Amino acid sequence: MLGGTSVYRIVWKLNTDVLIGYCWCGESHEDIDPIAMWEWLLAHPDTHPTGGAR
Amino acid sequence: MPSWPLNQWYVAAYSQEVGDDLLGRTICDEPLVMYRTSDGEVVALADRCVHRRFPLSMSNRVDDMIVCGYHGFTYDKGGQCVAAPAQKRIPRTARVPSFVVHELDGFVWVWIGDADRADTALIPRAPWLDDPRYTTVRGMEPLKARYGLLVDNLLDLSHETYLHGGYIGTPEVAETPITTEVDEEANVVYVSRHMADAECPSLYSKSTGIEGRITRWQDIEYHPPCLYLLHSRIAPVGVLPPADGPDDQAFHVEVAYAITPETEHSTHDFWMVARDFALDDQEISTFLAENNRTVVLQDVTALDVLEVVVEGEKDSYQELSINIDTGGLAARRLLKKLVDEGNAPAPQTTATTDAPAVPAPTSGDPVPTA
Repeated sequence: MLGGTSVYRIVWKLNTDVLIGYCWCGESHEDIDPIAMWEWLLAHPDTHPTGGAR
Repeated sequence: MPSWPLNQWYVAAYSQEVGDDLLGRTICDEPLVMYRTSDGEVVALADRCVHRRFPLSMSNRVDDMIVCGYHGFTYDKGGQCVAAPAQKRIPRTARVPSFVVHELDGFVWVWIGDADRADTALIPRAPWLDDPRYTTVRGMEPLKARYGLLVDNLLDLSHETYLHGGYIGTPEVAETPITTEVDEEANVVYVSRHMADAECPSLYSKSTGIEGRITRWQDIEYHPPCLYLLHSRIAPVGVLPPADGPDDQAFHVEVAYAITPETEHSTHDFWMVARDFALDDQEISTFLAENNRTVVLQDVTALDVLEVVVEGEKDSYQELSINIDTGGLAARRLLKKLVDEGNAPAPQTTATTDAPAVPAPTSGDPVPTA
């Protein structure tokens, strides 16, 4: 596992086709399309308050 | 603009490849000639005589200089022409670009970009490749395909089940879900596939002696653009790393690839397999080298075909991505980010001068690329 402070993580929900994406801030999102999942993750930090890790 | 990131380190050769002889190799569309000086220093120069472009790699080494095999222009290790035929005056512009190189972990790394931006601290590490606690077999296969196809291939190992069945592919590889991580600041993609109860592929059963099913972990660490690491752990079913102490009940195989673009449509596919067991067993070394090369060549055959397909397809072709592609998509995105960053101007480090960091080339000078 990567241990940095700006790590996005996508896991495969057990026994399903669902992906769960975790932003480095801790928020998560479910999707069945990896492209849509990355779009959510990459857009997500834009909603973070000023002073986040990015 | 090239499809690969500029201002990055790329593996140009294995250290053992560079010796007294002149080695010609194109890296990222830059024809290079490499050799090792009498002091042991690796030199990389543009592989074209400034006079009539004759490849210096097809020329002659005299002491630490290269004498062009066409008309005798003679270059020192810095690329400066020190002798021209039949005249005393050497034109001021008679020099060939020199590239920044650095040896680390058994590789010769070359910096492709602005020389003043080269920082050896940015080179990703693979220390076991040059560590006496491991035994490594290695090779390099020419790939007639763009480097991105090899990145796609290596980031999604579910293809092992279908393309490498009988060697490293078993049903569990394609069936086991992956976890993908991306470190945005370090620019690393990490893809984990942990198989708790899997068939042991022949490559590992014959090299480790394990009989029966295994716990097989594959942890990919991709440092774009060039270095790909696969940490492979093989152990009898149920044997997990202890909470404390060494993981000595498992076999560890460190697979590495250096993915170096040669041109827009060809790639140097450097591959290595390092192991922490049977270190002195030459039979196992030969077996792993032969079988891993077979696996690499299976990929080469497939990717050479794919290059023709991709190059000939309509612009409107829409590929499909599913869950297994999560890591590959992450790698593509990081590569795109690095391409954009590599094309951007160097950040200004001082505000006290308006002078450029590097003198602009004088008219008529060859423009150094590194």
